[in-house]
Amino acid sequence: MTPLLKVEDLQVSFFKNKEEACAVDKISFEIYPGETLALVGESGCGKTTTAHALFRLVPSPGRIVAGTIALHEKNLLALNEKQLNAVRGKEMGLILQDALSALNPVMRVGEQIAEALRRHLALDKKSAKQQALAWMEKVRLPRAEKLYDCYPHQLSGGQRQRVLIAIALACRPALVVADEPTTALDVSLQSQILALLKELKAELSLAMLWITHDLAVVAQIADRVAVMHAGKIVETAATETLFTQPRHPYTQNLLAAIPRIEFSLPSSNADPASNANPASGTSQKLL
Amino acid sequence: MIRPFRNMRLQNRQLRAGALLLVIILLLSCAAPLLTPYSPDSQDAPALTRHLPPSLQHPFGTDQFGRDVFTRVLFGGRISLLIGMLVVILSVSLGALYGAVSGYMGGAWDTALMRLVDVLLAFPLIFFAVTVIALFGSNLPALILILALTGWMDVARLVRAEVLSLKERAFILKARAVGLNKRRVILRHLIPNTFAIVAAASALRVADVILLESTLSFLGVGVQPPAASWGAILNDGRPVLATVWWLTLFPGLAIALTTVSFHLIGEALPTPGKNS
Amino acid sequence: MIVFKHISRFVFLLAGIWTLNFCLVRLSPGDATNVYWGPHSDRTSLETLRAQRGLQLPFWQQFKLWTVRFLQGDWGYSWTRHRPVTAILKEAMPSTLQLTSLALAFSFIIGSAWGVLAGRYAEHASGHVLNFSGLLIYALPSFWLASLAIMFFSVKLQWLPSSGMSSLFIDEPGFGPKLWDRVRHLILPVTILGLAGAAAVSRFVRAQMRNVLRQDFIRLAQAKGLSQRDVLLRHALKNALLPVITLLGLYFPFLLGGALVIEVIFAWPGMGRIAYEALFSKDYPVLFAVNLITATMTIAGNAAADLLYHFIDPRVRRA
Repeated sequence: MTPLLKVEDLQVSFFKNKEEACAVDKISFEIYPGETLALVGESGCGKTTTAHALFRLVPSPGRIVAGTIALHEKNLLALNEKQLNAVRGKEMGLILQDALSALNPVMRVGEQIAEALRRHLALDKKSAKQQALAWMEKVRLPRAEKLYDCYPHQLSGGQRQRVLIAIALACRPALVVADEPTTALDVSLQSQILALLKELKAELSLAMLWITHDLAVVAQIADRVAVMHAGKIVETAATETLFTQPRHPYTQNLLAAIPRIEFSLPSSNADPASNANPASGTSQKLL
Repeated sequence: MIRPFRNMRLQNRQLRAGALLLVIILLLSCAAPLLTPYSPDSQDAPALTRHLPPSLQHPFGTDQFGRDVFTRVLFGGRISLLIGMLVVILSVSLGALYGAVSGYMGGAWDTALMRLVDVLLAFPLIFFAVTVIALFGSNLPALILILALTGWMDVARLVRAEVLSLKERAFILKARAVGLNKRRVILRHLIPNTFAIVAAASALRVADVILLESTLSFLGVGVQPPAASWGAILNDGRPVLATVWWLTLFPGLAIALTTVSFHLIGEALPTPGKNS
Repeated sequence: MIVFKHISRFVFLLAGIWTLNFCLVRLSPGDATNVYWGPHSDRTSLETLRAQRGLQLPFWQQFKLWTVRFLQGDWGYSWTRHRPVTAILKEAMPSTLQLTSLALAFSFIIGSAWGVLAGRYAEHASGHVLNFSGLLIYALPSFWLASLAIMFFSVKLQWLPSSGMSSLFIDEPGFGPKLWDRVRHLILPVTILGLAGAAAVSRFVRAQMRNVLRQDFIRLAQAKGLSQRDVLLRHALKNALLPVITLLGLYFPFLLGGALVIEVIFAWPGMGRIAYEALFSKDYPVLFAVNLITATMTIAGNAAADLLYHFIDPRVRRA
């Protein structure tokens, strides 16, 4: 099976005062249709820059220096502006972390969904609005008709995040890049959004690149995981394999850093020795 | 406190350009008597030397009294710069004091004092200055005083804002019972922060004052003849604008270069909250 | 509610200006007869005037009298022009308004466009040029620019008239040629007056634009596949230009002050020129009246701009 997205030796650097700082250092990964790849790492490791690079939206003074990004076997880095804009939004969707800053504060939220539809599907105003409303209902926004005409600051955090999802999915892209979409939300909201995305992913056969530093989320949503550290991908594995048999020392440290609530059942065969190795086999631990 | 200034100043091209320009201008005006054999305000030159176009003997030409315009521009620089700096020192001091007091006192006093500032800011400066000069005359000390009185309001507002934000911080500190002397904290943070803001505002103020003074001199109510001020020279050039272009071009250029240099400096100075 | 707040503030400021003006009158050398007659009036008239106007009364009563008289339309009498001040102002104000309102429009339209381009291309050479030229023009004295413009366009090229509001003789009769003549007279003063303002606005807009273009929502708009033009026009522009309205209010004192000098240079018969002449002839009644009017225009402009902003920004409107 050919991968939907194939990134090879991608390198992104930031330039200041004639000095080059490498943010993404020759990384390679693939995403197959319908699968979710999580890109994990601590803050500053280059995951967000990678997401931007996929859309060729790296802010200056940054630049993509080398590598290829192939979507449907088309190198995105070789496209001109017009061709690129046909891909953005239509074949790749983007969900950002902070919904309040990701939405235009002086434009109504319904319109922000509709404009994506008008751009790619050549719809007239009325049908675009109808489809936008349909999407708003699909992402479980109550009273879609009313919310359509609201401004971002009038919505709650969860509602805004759903709008972002609607915007990203409106044109039914094959790939969705989600840059820490649940990080800013509280736990209950987080689980709601995760559930929503899992549903939509199944329904629309979406492939996802899920960027996060939260391993708990990874466990719930990702098929495969790529661990990133200081601009390099240090390990790629299926989710379960990564959690049970981490190979790279950085991954092991990452997993070890997860705070655990330990309790031992009074009568069971509690073996202190098995408690010592966190990633080995089964244990009475709550992650 | 000074060190971050030094570092940023060296890196910032705009600041360097402005500072360089200013230094050149200052040097020229300080060295004025050495640079020219003529006197700026003698009025007894023979008729043949009046309104001469620029030449080797008179690089900027001569005016209606036969005086060398280059000399007048140089000496005019002294007066304009002197007035500029004096006025700014006065108005910034007044403004800083006013703003600090108002911010510190807070409450009804603060509101009242700031309302007064609002009222004063409502007057277009020039009309106000013109009226006051008409009433009280325009000798040099009066001029400096009037100019100072028309410009302290901005600084007052800035300083007051700083004081208020610091008061809030100190209050929070007190609430957390950190045990630090509130007064010492305010002083240690207040002075450096406001210093930066006031420095940047001062540079821009000097440019404004030089502009205002030259406007008033241009209108005939600033520096009085025979003293040379750039605006006054421009005023001399007005009736003969069509023919004696050198009386308009050169002093105006001097004003322009000076104000530009102060603007470059004032804009490029790093202040808390500005990402340079 | 907001409207009420602004109106009360306006009234308060007006009262403040009023009082300040009165204090100024009282502080001036001589006594307050200054307001009603010039210092060159003869002694007997002055005595009669003193008695008439109750100038021997204490401060508060004088203030009350003064206020009442002003409200009734008695603004004093211009000694040099031999006409009531109100009449003089009635003629001068429209001229100044013509000049300043056109200059205002110029400043904001040209300035916004200038700033948007300077911000959009901030990283390119063209952006640097736009930015630096803005800085330069902002720092230049406008009366110098005016003189240079006259030298060049009026004297050298003979394209535009150098003074006045209209020519003495217009060849063809009718409204059209008159209008065109007026326009020709307006071009230079409006441009020079507006240029300084445009530079100021452009620098503000540039900063706003650069700020806006860094925001996440711009990135999302680009990720949606919108063209550069759409991103600029539909998303960036409104966000960058909305705060410019706050500049409007702050701008009025400079506009009116700048108008004084421009009117003097171009011999434009507006309030600035009236004030200038009153200055030299020590025509106090005129000076005070002009001060009052310009200050009032400033705070009125301020209040209007604030209100406008309240109604336009969706974030503030519903708050």
